[in-house]
Amino acid sequence: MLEQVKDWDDDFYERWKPIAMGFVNEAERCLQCGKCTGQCPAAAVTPGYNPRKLIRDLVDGNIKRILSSVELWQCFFCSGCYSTCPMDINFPFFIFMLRLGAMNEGYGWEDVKQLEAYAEKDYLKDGITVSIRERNPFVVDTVGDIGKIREAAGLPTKRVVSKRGVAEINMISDLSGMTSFMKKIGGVDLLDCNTCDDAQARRCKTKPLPSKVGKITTKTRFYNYGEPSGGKTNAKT
Amino acid sequence: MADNYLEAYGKETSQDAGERTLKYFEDLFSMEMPLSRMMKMMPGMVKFMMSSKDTREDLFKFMPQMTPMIKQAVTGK
Ligand code: SF4
Ligand code: SF4
Repeated sequence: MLEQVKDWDDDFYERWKPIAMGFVNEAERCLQCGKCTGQCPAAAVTPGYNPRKLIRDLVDGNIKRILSSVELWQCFFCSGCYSTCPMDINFPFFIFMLRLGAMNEGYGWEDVKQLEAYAEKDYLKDGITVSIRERNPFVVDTVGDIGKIREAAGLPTKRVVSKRGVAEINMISDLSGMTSFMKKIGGVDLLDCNTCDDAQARRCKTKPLPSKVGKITTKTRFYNYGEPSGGKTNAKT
Repeated sequence: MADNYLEAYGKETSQDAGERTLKYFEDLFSMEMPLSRMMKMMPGMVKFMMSSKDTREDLFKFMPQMTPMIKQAVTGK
């Protein structure tokens, strides 16, 4: 099957534009200069990832390719691309909005699922926004998780949030729909297959997706922007 | 199982996926306050109110601003 660069009407584009272009400061102005990709730390360790191509597909109307891609989930919002872009395109915000769109289509749930455990344990219960539980096995093995680093610095393991603070966070989460969103997601930790033990394997994120999340049927994503390559290998060279 | 995204979407065009996404954003950014949405907010406010005397007083201060919103949700006007 051949990929079509543009498979939507101009009429639709006119309706889509105010929303799509609204959150990326007019993506049409993108020069395709590639400065965003050149300085992107995520692209440096994952060559398949390329912010420039994502912007191009947004402008070309290749929505299917963006929404169903794994690459949409590889940005970590450092905003380097935004600050370096000569046309002032707010790329991280575009990623944020399109991720919501992708979840609505059933993509990306394996990545959001892991948040639930943190949301319950750290965020809703203790009011902590940055979890002390570090997920990267390399970091845990070498320096320990954030909790250990805090202890070594003479701080309590978890940041202490006042009772009122926790109550406020809970109310804001309920009012904004965050709590009900979190309830939709199944809690699974992100683990590394090379290092995890049996107990971890039982909670593994490579388990099949739940077939439905709320009213949404979940789907598996694809590497739409090139061959995936291992972050570890690339980080070494 | 589908091998790539074109197979996964089948006959659907980007416009179809885009229409769904557009509809989703419209709902998301809607300023309307239907009763169902209001009901979802209630547990949070009740929890906040119950947590201490301090928070209870605080919430009551906002009652004048909240009342029209609640009224709109209940009556639909
Ligand atoms: S840096 Fe800006 S103008 Fe250049 S390719 Fe990236 S988004 Fe487009
Ligand atoms: S915000 Fe995302 S796309 Fe932009 S430089 Fe950072 S990781 Fe890369």
